[in-house]
Amino acid sequence: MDLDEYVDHLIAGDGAVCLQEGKERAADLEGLHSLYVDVIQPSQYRVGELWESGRISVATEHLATATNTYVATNCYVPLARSAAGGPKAFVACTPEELHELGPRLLADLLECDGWDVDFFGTSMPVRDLVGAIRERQPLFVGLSAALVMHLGSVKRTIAAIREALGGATPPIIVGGNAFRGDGDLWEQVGADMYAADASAAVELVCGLKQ
Amino acid sequence: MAETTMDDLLRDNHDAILVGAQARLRGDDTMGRIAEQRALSESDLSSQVLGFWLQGIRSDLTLGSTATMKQNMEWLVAFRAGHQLPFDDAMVLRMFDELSDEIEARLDNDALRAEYADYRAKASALIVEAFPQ
Repeated sequence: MDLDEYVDHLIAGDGAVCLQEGKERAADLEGLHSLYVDVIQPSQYRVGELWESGRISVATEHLATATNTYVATNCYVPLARSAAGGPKAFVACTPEELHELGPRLLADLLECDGWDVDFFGTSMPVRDLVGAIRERQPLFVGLSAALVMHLGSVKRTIAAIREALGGATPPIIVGGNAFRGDGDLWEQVGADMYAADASAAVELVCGLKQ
Repeated sequence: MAETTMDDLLRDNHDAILVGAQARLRGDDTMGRIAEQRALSESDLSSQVLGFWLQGIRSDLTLGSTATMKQNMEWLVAFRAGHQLPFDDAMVLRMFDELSDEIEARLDNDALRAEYADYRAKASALIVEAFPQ
């Protein structure tokens, strides 16, 4: 099934067909990475474009996102590893950001790579994130922003973490649709690293485990 | 006492700026037509749209760039075409100007006024450039 066909099934609400396609692709970890990066991520971008261009409704966009979440969850669970004793990682959306599928994909792939992941979902309050970092000391923090108007929020979040934790601040990696524009946006927000997709992010942070 | 930053000012005056800009836009013909097309009240529509714009302005001023405005304009022009919405650059400029006037009325020192004037000029140019003439 190519991407266009997958998107057609997504917006038609054919969850079972999408899941079948996902399971066929995600027979192993490499396949799961491919499913996430080559199918789920671009299909979400396509769905967003279809909404922007007036070809699908908000309801259909939500249905498609929920279906992709269902596919991802069902495909990653059989490949997930026990987190016990694994290195700690944080993944969160910044305040006001309500799109969580992207960072969820990252959390899944990290878990499959042996990380003990705390995934905080949408709109994580800065003060609580700082407190959690101080308490649980992750080896890195992944922050996601889907909407470009949330880039300021990403910058404020990173500045608050650095101000509170100083030299104890773990590396901060950013990603999400908001960073797809200008190439240096990740530097403008004060991050240490940027990854264009979940699979690239797993590779980027691999060295931190040693 | 610490000097007020642009970010402090926009955070602390967020609701007042929105209410002020919304009052200035009340009765706008284009806004009324879009509201009717989207089956929203004019008040709900202007609240949503102005909120979106103010968030973008704050993001840009935090970043110290026009990156948010630039990407938002690309998106907005595509959105306008896709949804066949009846607004043009004059309408978008008016919304931006109403918000900008509300923001500028609250700036309390020359450094902030200069910072916003510079941003306002650059962002206005991006709005005009974004729309096919």
